[in-house]
Amino acid sequence: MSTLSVNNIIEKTTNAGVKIPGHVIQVVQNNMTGNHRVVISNTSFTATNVTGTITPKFSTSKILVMVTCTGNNNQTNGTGIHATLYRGSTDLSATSTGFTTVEGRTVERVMAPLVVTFLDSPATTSAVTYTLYAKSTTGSGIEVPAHTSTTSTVVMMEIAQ
Amino acid sequence: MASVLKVDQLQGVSNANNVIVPGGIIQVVEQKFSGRSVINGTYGYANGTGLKCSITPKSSNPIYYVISQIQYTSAGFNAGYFLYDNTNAQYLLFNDQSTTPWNGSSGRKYLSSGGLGSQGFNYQGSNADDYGNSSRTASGLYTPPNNNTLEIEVFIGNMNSNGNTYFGGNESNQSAAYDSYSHCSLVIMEIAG
Repeated sequence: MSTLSVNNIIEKTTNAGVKIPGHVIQVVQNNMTGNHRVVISNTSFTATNVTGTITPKFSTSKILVMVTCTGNNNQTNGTGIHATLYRGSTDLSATSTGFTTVEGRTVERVMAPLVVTFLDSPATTSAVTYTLYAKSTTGSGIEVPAHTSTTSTVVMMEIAQ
Repeated sequence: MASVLKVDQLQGVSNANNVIVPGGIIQVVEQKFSGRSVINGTYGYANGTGLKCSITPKSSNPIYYVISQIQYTSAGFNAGYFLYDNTNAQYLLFNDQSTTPWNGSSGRKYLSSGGLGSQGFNYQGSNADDYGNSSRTASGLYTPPNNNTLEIEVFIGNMNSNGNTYFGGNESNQSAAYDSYSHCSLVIMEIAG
């Protein structure tokens, strides 16, 4: 086994990054603290304001996307929430219920986490935008995030291959 | 004076994919669950779901960051899930006040997330567990007792009754929108130690 002792390893080519197979080589976070809540009555997936963009350094890289958000069913007729993750215009779940759900209740308001973890292979070095989409199960309005003062976070890790 | 190495790419000598940087995340693996399974369980006992993720460490003293995103429902009782190290036969990611393994109805069980009841989206209906399931996540660090190839599995525990749990889906399992399957995944990141 060979050992290289060094204090700092940096890219030789500016902005090109250092490719180390298997390693996380870039982390980008979008922390949304202002009022970014949307009301969605649509029963088809609809974009929220919870989004993040990363520019992969290598087209072969994988991107681990971690979304932390909340949803509010607004106490209406057992309404539930489905949420999914889009890369650009592509639904990464490709299912009608998406990646995560909030159950409906007829007699009480339900506010719950909407959390998505997904390992993506975008195959590009162009900027990639991930957006949380949500829909109502009944057509009654849901809120994402649950409050106007709620923080949402999208963390994206690039993993070299 | 700090030394600086400028390079475009680093590869291992004997294995191009094996470069160790202490403290760094050096490997990420993921396993997704396909389709839906029905797990029949007994009150106070648990069953493996088949969602397993294995990782062979590159470093000698690995620490793992584990993320689970699980969706399921149950047929009229409370069900929780936990993560289990099949390699070393021990639980991970649980409350330290948990006291009892899943071998009977007494005691506080090891849980990573949940439990949840069976009431789905159509709560007012008589068969509420036919409609939708619930998402539960867990994440945290796990230090295994050795650096053997590690296998982590998701187990479902019946918290207050015998019965079926529906993993990745719900009860009725029709080819309809309300019975669509859901995303379940395990992610393990190795942090070089």
